[in-house]
Amino acid sequence: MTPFDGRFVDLSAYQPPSKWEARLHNLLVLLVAGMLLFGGWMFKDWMQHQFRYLALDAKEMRIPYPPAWTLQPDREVALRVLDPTSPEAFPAREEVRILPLPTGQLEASWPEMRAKDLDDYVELERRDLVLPDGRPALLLEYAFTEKTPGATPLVAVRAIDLAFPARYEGETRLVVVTLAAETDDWPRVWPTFRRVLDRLAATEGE
Amino acid sequence: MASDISVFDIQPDALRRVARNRRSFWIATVLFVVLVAAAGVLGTRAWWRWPEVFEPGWGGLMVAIGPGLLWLLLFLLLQIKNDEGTRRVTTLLWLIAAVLYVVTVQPLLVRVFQITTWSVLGWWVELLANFLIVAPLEALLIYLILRLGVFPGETIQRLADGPLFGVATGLGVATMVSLIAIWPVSQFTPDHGMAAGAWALSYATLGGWLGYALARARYARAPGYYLPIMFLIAVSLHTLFDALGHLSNALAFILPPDTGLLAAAGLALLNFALMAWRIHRHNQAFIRMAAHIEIAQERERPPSLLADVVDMAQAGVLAASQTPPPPPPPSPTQPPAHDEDELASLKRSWEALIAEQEKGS
Repeated sequence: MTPFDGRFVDLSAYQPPSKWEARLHNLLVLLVAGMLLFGGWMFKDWMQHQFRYLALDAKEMRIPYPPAWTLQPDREVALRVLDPTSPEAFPAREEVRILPLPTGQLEASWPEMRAKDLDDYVELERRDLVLPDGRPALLLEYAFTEKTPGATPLVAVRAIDLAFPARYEGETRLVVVTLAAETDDWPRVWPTFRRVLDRLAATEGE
Repeated sequence: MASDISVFDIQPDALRRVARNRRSFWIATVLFVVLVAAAGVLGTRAWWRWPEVFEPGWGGLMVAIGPGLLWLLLFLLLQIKNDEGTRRVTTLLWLIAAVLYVVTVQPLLVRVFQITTWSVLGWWVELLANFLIVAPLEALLIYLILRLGVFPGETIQRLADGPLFGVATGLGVATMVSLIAIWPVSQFTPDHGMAAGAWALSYATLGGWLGYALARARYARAPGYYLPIMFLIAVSLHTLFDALGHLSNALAFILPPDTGLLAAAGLALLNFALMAWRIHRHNQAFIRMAAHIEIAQERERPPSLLADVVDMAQAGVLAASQTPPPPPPPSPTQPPAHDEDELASLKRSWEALIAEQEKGS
């Protein structure tokens, strides 16, 4: 017969869990961690598709840029944002230039202007694209060297330009969106650049 | 449940061994919290008198690894008993956690989740990223190191060893988090030092709770939801410490600059006090249970003649060993009795007894 005080003592509570119980506990912890991380992955995906926009004109398309990047005012460009996590010599950047429309063909004149402005310019690819509303656009991929004031005097830069005509302050101008990064840093920032290009929704021309 | 387990399945002495506390750990932890908070407050006030921006250098390195190293040294100094195993395991856990953080969690955060590229948009994004990504990854690393490295074996001997090993692992992670954040900055200010201190307090608390939960689940049967809930609590604590830092930064214009560190120290002390109270209660329960089991074992032990014989034999041997009988004097007239003759007479009398019993029946 169980003694009176023994009735209130649960001996099983003082037994260590069996091997299978311990495994089940581990599995449950992994499940909780996995659910949190899955939520985190979705959140990251959602956050990466958030943009800030540069408005050009009423009823005109807007130029997206990563919201976490820092603005750097510059007279030469309408917008310049830098990736704060990039190497200091040449941070990855997005720039928007608003220029007068070229007199000649866009696909010939813009690469010529780039070759004139940049050191050691090498053209990698040139493609004709079409914006969602049917406007023609030019995608130009190239590389050049840039002098920097830091410890590395000269860095190799890779860049993509998307040039297209757009209305700006009531006039039709040439808008050029430039996405540039050091060649070593390019694989890291390429997903961000691709999202910007996807948002602009330029597709292959017919 | 109680019916399928016998009182003889549990050793009361084992329960009493598990219930021993580890005072050196608690003293080292309280000293660590107080010293980190004091260093942060005094360092910041001294810096505001002579504000100067330093290069990170060796000073930055010391500030980054200082808090974690301080706790480890305090514990190793205070653990003066001959317990080499615990000291070695604690140091190893600190180092292993630091190395594993750099090779597993850090690449996952930076390369897979790319957290540095999108989590700086605002305080709410940082807090959500902390709760959903940073804290689960770091808590999971600490959990797996403890679960696979320490808890299956005999290294852990007491319930209080759970928080001890948890804090060691957490501080290994905190050291690397601080080092990665502070080492690359070009200008070092006391804010970095206070951040390193707050991280150390946060990870020590997180590791302490995870270690406590694992030790509790190892020595006593816990329901299935116990460890997942404790994991969630640890993750929430990580985020709470982060939120405290953000709040103190947001209120920097009305609050002293060391408010965040002091709040983190207060929260850490509160948590360690709660942990110590829980462990004290469990230890008391273990000791009470050991006494119950001893009483129950005495009651339920079946009467055994053999046990009495063994007891008597032991008592006889003991008495004989204490007062050895004098050797019998040699008698020249009577030859010494041989063992064979005694055995033969015993056999004869035994056979006669059996024959008499058979005849009677």
